[in-house]
Amino acid sequence: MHDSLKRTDGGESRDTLEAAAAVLLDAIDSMALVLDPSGRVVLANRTCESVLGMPAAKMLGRTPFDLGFGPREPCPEQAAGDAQVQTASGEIRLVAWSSRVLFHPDGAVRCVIATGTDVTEARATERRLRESERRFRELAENVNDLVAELTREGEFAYVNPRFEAVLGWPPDAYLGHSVYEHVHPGDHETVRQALGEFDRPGISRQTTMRVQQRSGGYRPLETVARTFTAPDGQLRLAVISRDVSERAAAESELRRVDRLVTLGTFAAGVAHEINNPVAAILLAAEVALERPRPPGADSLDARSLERIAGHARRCGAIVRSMLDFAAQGRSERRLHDVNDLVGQAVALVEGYARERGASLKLDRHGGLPRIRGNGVEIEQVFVNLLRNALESRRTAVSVEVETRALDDRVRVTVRDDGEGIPADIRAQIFDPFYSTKRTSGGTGLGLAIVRRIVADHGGEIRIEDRPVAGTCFAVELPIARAHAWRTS
Amino acid sequence: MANVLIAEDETELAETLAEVLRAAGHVVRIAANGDDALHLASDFSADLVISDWALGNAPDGLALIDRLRAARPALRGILMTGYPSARLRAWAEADEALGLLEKPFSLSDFRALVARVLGVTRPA
Repeated sequence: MHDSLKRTDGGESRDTLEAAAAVLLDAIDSMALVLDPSGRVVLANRTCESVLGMPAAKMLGRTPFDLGFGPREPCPEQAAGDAQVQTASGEIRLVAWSSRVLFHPDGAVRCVIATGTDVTEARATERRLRESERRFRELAENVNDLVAELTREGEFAYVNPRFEAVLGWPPDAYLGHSVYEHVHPGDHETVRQALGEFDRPGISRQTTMRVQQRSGGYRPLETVARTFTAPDGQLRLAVISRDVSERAAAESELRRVDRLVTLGTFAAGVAHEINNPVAAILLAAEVALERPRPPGADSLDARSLERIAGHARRCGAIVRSMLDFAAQGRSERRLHDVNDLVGQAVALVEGYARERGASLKLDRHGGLPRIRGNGVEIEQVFVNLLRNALESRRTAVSVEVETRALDDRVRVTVRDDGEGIPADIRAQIFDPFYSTKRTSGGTGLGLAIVRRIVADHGGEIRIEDRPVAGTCFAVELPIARAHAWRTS
Repeated sequence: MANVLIAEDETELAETLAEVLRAAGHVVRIAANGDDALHLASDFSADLVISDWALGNAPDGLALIDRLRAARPALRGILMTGYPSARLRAWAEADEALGLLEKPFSLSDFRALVARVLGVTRPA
């Protein structure tokens, strides 16, 4: 301790104070400078000496500006900020300064006290942390998957924007809420079990769970969760989910098509096997029907035989439908005039139309460009559509068929004024085995066959709305390319 | 009146058809497989061969008819099948003396087709 501390007059007490201050300042880890009213260093503590790498004596009488780290202008009453300081060895350090002006009772400046902390490493760490946070945030917010952080109890602590994009709920529907509120009850047990197993960092589990959508229903999300230790020491879950509903839909479509292909092959096999005994039944019934009957014999036998024959024929028709449906359509393709095919189809159903008292009108535009395809199959399309049209009403129905050329295709419409097709089943009626006519002998394959044939020919079939009651089927088939070239 | 050879391994069906043909005045022989059919055809001097497409063992019905006709071009042929295809239809359409019966077929169709092909005359 200084001798001057022992002095007791005003000058002494001032010296004592300054001496005590000097001792204190030398003891702290921060840099400390005392400047006189003209801004020159009158005191620099030990830390200043070690950071700047020069003895205090070299700093006395000079301004911080001279020393390379202060502002040229005098500082206001209170100031704080980072300043780059060059040490004696030439190294640049970053120092966070805080300075304050001390005044005499009369208002004159007494001195300026500045303290500083070397924050070079700290600032660099902060910068890296911010950069890292920014990167994480960008990634979390821009990946395609749903990213969330859950507490160990299953409460949402963070959700990325994909939650709202995929499920429809904004983030505050999740934050602070339990995962059980959003997961399908059927998957709660799975979640509960997984959460139970998450007792230390580094454990991961994967499962598919159904998560609630705002628009109703649940969406299947393939979810992977992994435990980690958060900065606060708590065990948390990093959860990434992927919307697999599209993939699930594609897979289920693939399975459906696969089943249909297998079904088709199976149906073809069954059909072939069945045709033989059915042929025998039909022939035997017909032969029996032809046998001369003794006079007065019961006509019940004849009726039964006719029924047998009728059903056998029907079996044959069903089998033929199934075989048509199962056929892959890799048949010979030739140029055809659609008007001819339509005409042939109409000729085939004319008798049936007459039977039903239906009116059948044909409006064919001449000079249609030719299409390339299988004439028999395309004729089948029109026959099926015509039959459906003729059966669209029990009483006299009016059916109109029109053909027309569009720029790159030929369009055929089959219109009826029957009962119409309700909008909600329009998508299904092309499905195999869907039939509204089961009781009256429909096989449910007519439109499925039509769709297959039209698709095989690169065409389209649509149900179009009519201003009046009834149904309109429109079939469009691409014109043969060679023909298109010839007309250009 | 004609000599008709039926090549069909389903005996009941063959018998029924034979009955119908005999009632119409034709002479009918039945072979249960391709080999028997080949033997019978030469002894029998058939005018018409009616064969099932799937005869159970080689040759198949279409090949059988073609082979028999190669030996005797005047022979008419009717192929019966439970599994019609574009190829078979094309085969039958290629010649008036040929016909295709798709199972199950009615008696009237059968009679009509037999009459039609038998009506076709060819130099022997």
